[in-house]
This record gives sequence, C-alpha cells and structure tokens, in this order.
Amino acid sequence: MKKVFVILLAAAMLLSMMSFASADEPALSGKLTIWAWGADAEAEQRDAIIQAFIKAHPELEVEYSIIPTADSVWDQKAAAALTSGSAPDVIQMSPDYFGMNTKYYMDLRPFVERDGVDLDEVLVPGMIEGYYDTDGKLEGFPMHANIFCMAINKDMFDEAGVAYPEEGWTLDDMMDWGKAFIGGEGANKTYALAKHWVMNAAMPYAGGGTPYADDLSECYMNSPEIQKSLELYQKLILEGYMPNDAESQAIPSAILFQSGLCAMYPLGGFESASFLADCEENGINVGLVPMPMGVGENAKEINVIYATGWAITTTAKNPDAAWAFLKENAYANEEMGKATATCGMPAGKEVAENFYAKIEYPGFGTYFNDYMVEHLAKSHINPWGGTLASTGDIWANMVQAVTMDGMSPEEAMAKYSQQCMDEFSSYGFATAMKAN
Amino acid sequence: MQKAKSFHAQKAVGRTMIYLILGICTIICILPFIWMLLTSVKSTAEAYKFPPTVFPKKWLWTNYTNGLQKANFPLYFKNTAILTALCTIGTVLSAQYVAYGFSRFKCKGSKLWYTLMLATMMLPNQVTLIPQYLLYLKLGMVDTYLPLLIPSWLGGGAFNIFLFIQFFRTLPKELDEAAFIDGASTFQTFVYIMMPSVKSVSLCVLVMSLVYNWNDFFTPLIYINSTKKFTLAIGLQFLNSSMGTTKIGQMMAVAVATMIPVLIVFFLCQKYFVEGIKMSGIKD
Amino acid sequence: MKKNRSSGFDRRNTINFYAFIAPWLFGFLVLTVYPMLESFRLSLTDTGFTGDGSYIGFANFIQALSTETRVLTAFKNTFFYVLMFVPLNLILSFFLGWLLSRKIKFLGFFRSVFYIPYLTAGVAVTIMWGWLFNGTYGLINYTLSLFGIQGPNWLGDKNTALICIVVMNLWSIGNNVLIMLAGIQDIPTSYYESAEIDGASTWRQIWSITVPLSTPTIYFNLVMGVIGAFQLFNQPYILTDGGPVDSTLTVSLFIFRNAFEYGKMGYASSVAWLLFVAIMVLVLLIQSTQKKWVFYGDS
Repeated sequence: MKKVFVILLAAAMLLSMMSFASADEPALSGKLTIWAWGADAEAEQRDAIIQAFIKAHPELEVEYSIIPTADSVWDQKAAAALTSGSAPDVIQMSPDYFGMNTKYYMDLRPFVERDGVDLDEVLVPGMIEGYYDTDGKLEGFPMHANIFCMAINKDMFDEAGVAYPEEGWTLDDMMDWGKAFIGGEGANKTYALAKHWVMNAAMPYAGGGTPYADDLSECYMNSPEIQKSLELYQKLILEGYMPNDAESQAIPSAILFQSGLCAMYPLGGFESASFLADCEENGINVGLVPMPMGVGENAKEINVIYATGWAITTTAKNPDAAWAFLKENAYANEEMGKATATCGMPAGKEVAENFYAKIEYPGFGTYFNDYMVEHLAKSHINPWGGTLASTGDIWANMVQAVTMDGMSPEEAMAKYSQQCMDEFSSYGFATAMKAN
Repeated sequence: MQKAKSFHAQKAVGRTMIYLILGICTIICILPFIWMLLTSVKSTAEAYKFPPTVFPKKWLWTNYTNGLQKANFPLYFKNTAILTALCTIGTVLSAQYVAYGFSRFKCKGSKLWYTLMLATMMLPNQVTLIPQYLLYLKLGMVDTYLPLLIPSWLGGGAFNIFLFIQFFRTLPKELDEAAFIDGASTFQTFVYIMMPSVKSVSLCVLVMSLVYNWNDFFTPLIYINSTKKFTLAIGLQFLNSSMGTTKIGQMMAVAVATMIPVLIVFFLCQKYFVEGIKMSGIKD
Repeated sequence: MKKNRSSGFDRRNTINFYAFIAPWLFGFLVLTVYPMLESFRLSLTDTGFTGDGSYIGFANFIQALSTETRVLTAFKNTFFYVLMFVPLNLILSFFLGWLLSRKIKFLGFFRSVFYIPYLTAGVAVTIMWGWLFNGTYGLINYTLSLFGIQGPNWLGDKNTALICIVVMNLWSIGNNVLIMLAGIQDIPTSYYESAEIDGASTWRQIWSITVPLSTPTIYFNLVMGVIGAFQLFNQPYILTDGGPVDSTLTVSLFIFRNAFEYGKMGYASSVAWLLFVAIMVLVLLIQSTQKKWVFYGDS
C-alpha cells in the first residue's frame, strides 16, 4: 500500500513537473533564422554549433548564414539589417559593442527569470557581465571568450641565446633582449614581435593606463599613460622590433612567424588550433608564454578579451526557439558547448572545466587552455568594439602618425587626443553615465 | 631619290616604334593576369617566397575547389547571373522606350526635360545616395534586389538613353508616319517598327550593361545584407576582408573564376562591344 | 480648322512624349530630384541609421569645414587623385588611340588586349593589383629588383599608396583608348592627304589636324573623367581602407564610412553636398573654357 502510494505520489509529482515544465517552456516549432560572422576555423565552429542545435531540435526549421568576416563590414551589414527590419531572430554580437544596437536587441532577463536558472552557477565567472547594458538590460548571451598568449619560436630564442620570457615580462624588458632578433633585409628581414591585428587594441594598455573608464563614464585618451603607450609603440616599430604597417601588409603576421622570420606572435584562442598545426607543418618549434605586462605601478597584463555571444532581435518571429538556442549554446547543451570549445573558452562552466580545460595540444599539454582560464580576469575587453570603433580609428591614426609619419608622441597627443575625447563624448552612453 | 629612300626608312623606323610600344602595352595589360593565374595554383608558402618562382613547383588545383567552396561560389554565381540578366533586360527595354519619346515627340517643355536628362550624367552618386537608401529603407526594400533593379527599369541611366536617342534621330520620320497611316498606335509603332530598327544599338547596350552589372560592387555593398543574397563582387570582397592575403592562392583562384564569365561574353560578342565603343564617342 | 488640327497634333505629341518618358521621369523625380533636396535637408540634421533626426542648423558643415581635419584630408587626396588621373588618362588614351589608328596589323588583337583590363575592372582585379603591389613578394618590386632597384612598399607607404591607385586605374582605361581611336578614325583622310602634299611632318599633322579634330572627344572624356575620378571609392575601400595615415582616404570613402559604418547620415549628407559643389564648380569651369579649345567640325 505504502509502495503504491509512493509510486502514485511520484507519478503525480512527475505529472505536475511536466505540466509545470510545459507551462514554462513552450514547445518549440516553426522557423528560426540565425546570423553569425566568422571565417575559416571560426566559421566551422559556428557551423558545428548550429548543426548540433539542429540535431537536438528536429522540430525546428533552422535557416542560418555565416558571413566570413568580423570587421567593420559585419558591423555595417548587421546595423543595416537591424534598422531595415530584415534582421534574423538570432544575431551574433559582442559584449564590447557597448549599446551599439541596443534598441534592436530583446531584454533577456524575462527568459532567465522564467527558467529560474542561477546564471552564476552555470556560467564561467566573468562571462555574462559584459552583456548587461548600463541600464541593467541583458542584451545578449555568451558563446565563448578568448584572450591571447604569446607564441615564441624556441629555436630562434635558443640560437640568439635569449631566455624565454616569463610571467611578468614587459615591453621595456624586450627593448633589451629583443634586439637579438632584429636583422636581415627585404624578404629575409627578421623581427622580435609580429604585428598581429590585436596590437592596436592591446597597446593602449602598454603604458600602464586604460583608454577609458570601465563603466564608460570617462575617457583617458589624453593621459600620460596613453602617451607612454604611444612612445612604446613607436619604439617597437621604428627600432625594428615589429614590422610597420607597410611591412606587415606585405606578409600576413602568422605567415611571418611560420616562416621563421619572427620570434614572437600574439596567439588568440580563436586561431590556436590551425595556427599550431601550420607551425608544425613548417617545422617551427613553438613555445607558449604569457603576454607581457604594461609598465608602471598599476599596470596590468597587456591582453585583450574578444568575447562573443548571441542576441535575440526585437523583430524576432520565434523568440522562444531563439532563447532555446542561446541558452543551449551557453550551458544547456553539451554538444553545442563542445563544438564551441574549438575556437575559444565556452561560456558553460561544466564544459569549460571538464572539456575545454582538458583539451591537449600536441607538445603543450593543456597549457593553452589552462592559461585562458587563468588569465581571463587579468585581461581587458577589446576597447574598440562596435560603437567605439570610431575612437579606435583615431587611435589607429595616432599610431600611424608616430610610426610612419615622423610625428613625435607629444605632437600626436596634441593633435589627436582631443579628437578622441570629443568622439568619445559624442556617444550617448558617456553622458548618460556621467549623469548617473 | 635619296630623299624618298630616307623617307621610307624613317617610316619603317616609325612603324617599328609603333609595334614596340604596342607590344610593351600588351605585356603590361596581360602580364598581371598571367601572374594572377600562376599565383592561383601556388601554395601559400610558395607564394611568399623571394625571389618568386614563376611556375609553381606543385600545381595546387585544390585552391580552386577549396576557394570556390569557401566563397560560396555556386550560390553567388546564380544570384549575380539572375540579377545581371534582369538589370540588363530592364536597361535595354526601358532605355529605348524612353529614348523614343525624347527623339520623336516635341512639345512644350520637351527640350527642358531633355537637358535635365543629360545633366543627370554629371550628378555624382554621393549626393543622392543617402536619401535613396533611407527611402528604400522606409519602403522595406533594403536587403532585396529591388534597389538594384528599379533604376534599370526606369530608363537605365542617361547615357544609355542618349545612345538610343542618337540612333533614333538617324531613322527617317517617314517610317513612323507610314505605320501611323496604316492604323498602328504609337506603342505598336514603337514595338513593331522602331525596336527592330535599333536592334544593333540594343545589342551594344546589352553587352555593356551586362558587364557593368556583373562587376558592380557599390550598389550591392550598400543594399544587400543577407549572405544568401550576396553577389560575386560582394562575396569576393568579404572573403578578401576575412582571409586577406593569408590564403593568397585561394583568393586569386576565386578572383579568376569571377572574371571568366565576363571574358566569355566578350569573346562571343566582340563585335557589339566594338560597335558600342564607337557609339560612346559621339560628340554632341 | 487648320489651327484645330495642329493643336490636336500638339496634344497628341504631348501625351505621347510624356507616355514614353514616364519611366525616366518617375525615376528622375523620385530617385534624383527628391533625394537631392532631401540630402540637403538631412545635412542640416543629426540623422542616424534609422533616418530620424532633429535640425541642428549648419553644425555639420561647420564641423566638416573647421573641426574635423579628416574632411580636408579627404578633399586633398581626392583633388590629388583627380589631378593625377584625369590628365594622364587623356594623354595616354589619346596617344594609344592614335597609335592604333596607324593602319596597323592585328588591330583586332590589340583592341581586345586593351579592352580586357577595362572589362574585368572590379573587385577581382583590385585584389589582383594588391598582390602585384606587395612590397616584398609582389611582381612589380621583383621586376624592379632585377634592375637593381629597391621598390617602395607601394600600398603600405603613405607617399605611394594613392599613386598605386592612379596606376591601377590607368591600367584599365582601354575603353577611353578605343573611344579616342573611334574619334580619330572619323577624321576624313582628305585632311591628312593635303597636309602630306604640303610636306607636314607626322608630328605636325598630329598637332594641327588630329588633336584639334579630336577635341570634342577629349572634352567629353575630360568631363566624364573628372566626375568619375571625384567618386573614387572601390580601391581605397578594398585595398587600403583609406590608409596608411589617411593617405588614400577619399571623400566618397569618408561619406560611406560616416553614413553606413558610424550611422551619421546627416553629417555624411553635408559632406556629400560639399563634394557636389566642388564637382559642379570644376565642371562649370571646364565648360566655360570649352569655346576656346573645343573644335566642332562645321562651326
């Protein structure tokens, strides 16, 4: 009797749970459209993520496209699609977009509340924060995050008799031992450090400061620390540690490193797998070390986070299916999490700790991904994403002025820093934050 | 006698000079294409070698298969072909339709409209671009092919209209009048008498507009947002912006493939291109 | 009676005229006249991506002309390009057109050879040139190195980047060459025959017959060339993104970036109007000199 009662009770509970679940999580149906960006390995990753979702939801008709780019071309296309109402249900976005398209993104808090999930429990710490707008709205949901470590050509270091850099090294240090790598002419010219495209985003931190306050309330582009960054950047290039823009246009920085012409290469998590494979193919003996520190007392690591996730557009025709996609990618679908791990640290705690951190690269063990987990908190989010790109363009001009145009850092600061300040204050959020 | 001989010698020298200069120009025109073809079958490592190899050590034909697949070539080819065809048909039909009006009917104000029509040739795109975009945006036509198609069906540009007008003017008025007396309406006269008479111009405008639309980059860049609606020009630029010169062989392979259709059209219809050029040189 | 008939004829003419030009007229009003006026209105507003904005007077123009130095840079670069490209285009296309008119063999072959670069001009060719101009691995610098010359970084050098774009566009002027050729071929041979009898040298014949009689074609190419050159966009957008150090930032690229990347539609409109005024002033200047040097056969 007792047994029967227990079974009945269990059945009743199960039933009520099921009805509870179905009341809360409507059955999915219909069509879901998704837009993503990414080329090569990244495109493959997005494709695998979406395929895993399709496999888990045969009831949905999923239509997606992956635009093979991530630069301003995407921003322009995405903005045009959003304003013209031709945007998909789910669109890829970055937490560094800073309110760029905020009015076109749905607030995700109601979905989170409806599911009753504690995000701190399911997501890697630091993953979700950037997706909250200044007014508390949750604009997007994370897919993965990436930072950089420094790939070194061990043979070049050994030949030059230079010790491998250790945690805490600075660009000032490198001005000393880095000289050993500079030499040659034309196609045989060698350098200490490759000019990865990330340099323009990372270098503002080299002088020990930051380009603007984390809460966007203030711009510091006229600070002495920024000038110090500019001085360092100029030295790196004029003294030949790093190729200038013209030289780096002649040969892509990854190929420069893989041809043995360059001792160090900032390696991003999104490109690690293919990069290391190409190095092996070219017989480059690679070692991995941390990124350098900025100079000065309050300096942090010169490292930039490139995080990306998904948003649901306000014009979405199938928000429930869209939300299922977002949360399953972030934490609720192991397959999708694993697919994500090929190009960066997945947002879900479970997958990040039990799968991503254990991925081994031949010769490096789990160093790479351990490093990612450990250094994420020490890094800055990409400073020139989305809305801030126009300020980033002015910074790029400052850099070119001192590295190619013969201007001194003081002159460049005098000419451009006020432009940066003006541009920054023209964004709505800066004034909004100040008013708060 | 002596004089005549030196004159002939001079002429011969002159001839040789002409062929020499034209020969050099030929090399300048063709060599880049050959270099591009050779790069398109090289591996990345070989492309970034100095001094460069002329012929690849290993002919990497997979650059074509991989590149075309990465560039989504079949889909973009189809999109571009359909779009180009529709734009071209629109241009050819609407330009001669409008030109017939301008060349055959005089009324109060017709001269003014004609002048205005010619003046639009001098109008830079930029000044109308933004409001046009916002207009299409309000009409919900952004990310459709309509902003690309509509102008072709509304006369197809002042230049094409002008070409037809020039030709209509050479046709005797008696042609229309005879048809009119036979009881044909103006529209019928246009379709049955006039259109066949300007067939040669139509073909020239057709081939030129075909090439123009195939190569057009700016308009689809502004108006097309969904990848599945991209044209070859946009697809190629996206591929370029994402992989740049890291996979230079594949990039060149895709670039070669986008050019081939234009070259085929050119070699098949050379005659009409030459005719078209002659007509473009009209002085008025 | 007679009067009546002619007015009926007039009315039918009017109806027919408008019936036939209707497609163009509609396009002209909606896609040209309205946008021109609207563009000016927008230039007085702070309109963003969506097309909504409020009036801010001439603030955009003030910003473009005084505070934002990049506008000035963009205009400087554009003028430089026009001044380089347009005259070279005219000289080269006239010269090559004249060479082709010399009753040569293989005319058809040369015509095709010159025309193909024009035909294929587009994204693909632009990317091809980027590779040819590569400072280290490009064909151009390799060729120069065979003569012991160390070539510059071309597109990566602020002093040469814009010149590279001039060169690649000169490479595809085949169309103009053939237009010139057609113009030169139209000159009646009798002019040359009488000059020959007078013992005029080839050089003299070019100057006193070919050039003057080709001035209408030259004039046409000049005006269209100036207007086209002012709108330079593709190569700076695809190859250099306006760099290095803004040396290839053209007005068109500036307008595009502000309108479609930064979403400053109003500001971009004001710069578009400045461009429009600049072009019109130059075209009117050219037109005012037309009577002095353009020679129309009969008059």
